[in-house]
Amino acid sequence: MLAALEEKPGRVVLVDLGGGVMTVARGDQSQIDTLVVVVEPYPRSAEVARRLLEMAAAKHVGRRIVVANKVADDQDVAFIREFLGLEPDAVIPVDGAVRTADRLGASPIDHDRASPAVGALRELATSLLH
Amino acid sequence: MAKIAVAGKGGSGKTTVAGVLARLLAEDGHDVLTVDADENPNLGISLGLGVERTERLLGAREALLPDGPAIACSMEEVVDDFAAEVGERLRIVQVRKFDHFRPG
Repeated sequence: MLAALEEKPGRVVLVDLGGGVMTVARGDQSQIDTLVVVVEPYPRSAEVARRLLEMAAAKHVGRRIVVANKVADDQDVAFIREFLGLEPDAVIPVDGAVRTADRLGASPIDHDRASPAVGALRELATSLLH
Repeated sequence: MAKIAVAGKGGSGKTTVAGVLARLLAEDGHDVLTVDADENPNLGISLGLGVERTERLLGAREALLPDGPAIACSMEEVVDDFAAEVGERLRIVQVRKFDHFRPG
C-alpha cells in the first residue's frame, strides 16, 4: 500500500502495525522511512522490541526510534537501556490520564492535553520529522 | 513525504503513541494519513474518533471492500474514497482489506 501511494510534499503517512513481530517480519519494509518501536519496561516487551529493531536493521529501515512507554522510574529506563543496549529516544511516563482516556474511549489529547504522557509525545513529534 | 510505522508488543501502548503522534503532527500543519493495520483496529479511538465512529469505520471497510476481485483504480483514489476525516489535515484508513489491492 505504501508503495502505491503518491509522493506528496508535506504528507505524513503513519501506520499502526499489528502487535508483535510478524507485521515487520513480512515484506521488505523498504517503504518505511522510520520505525517507531514502543517498548514497556519488562522482558517480554523488550524482547519483542529487540527483535523488531534487528529486523528493521536487516530490512534497511533507515531510522529506528525507541519509545520507552509506561515508565515509572529511572530503573525502568535503565532496564530498557541495558536490555536493548541503547538509550531510548523518548521516555513516556506512566500516566493515569492515558488510562482514563482509554477507559472512556477518548484520545489522550482530548481528555487531558496537559498530561505528562502527551507532553513527552509532544517532544517526540517535534523531533520525529527532523 | 514521510512514511512512519509504529510497532511493538501487543499492549505496549503503540496505538496510543501512534494516535497521539498523528494528532500532534496534524496540529503542526502536516497532512497526515493514518493507516490502521492492526488486527485490533483501535487507532480511531486514540485519534479521537470515538468508539462508535471507529466501529462504523470497521463496518464501512467490510461493506465497501468485500473479498473479491482486485480494484482497478489507483491507491490514491481508494484512500480518497475510503479514508475517514478525523479533523483538519488528519485522515484514517483501514488497511487489512487492501491486502489484495492491485493498482490498475
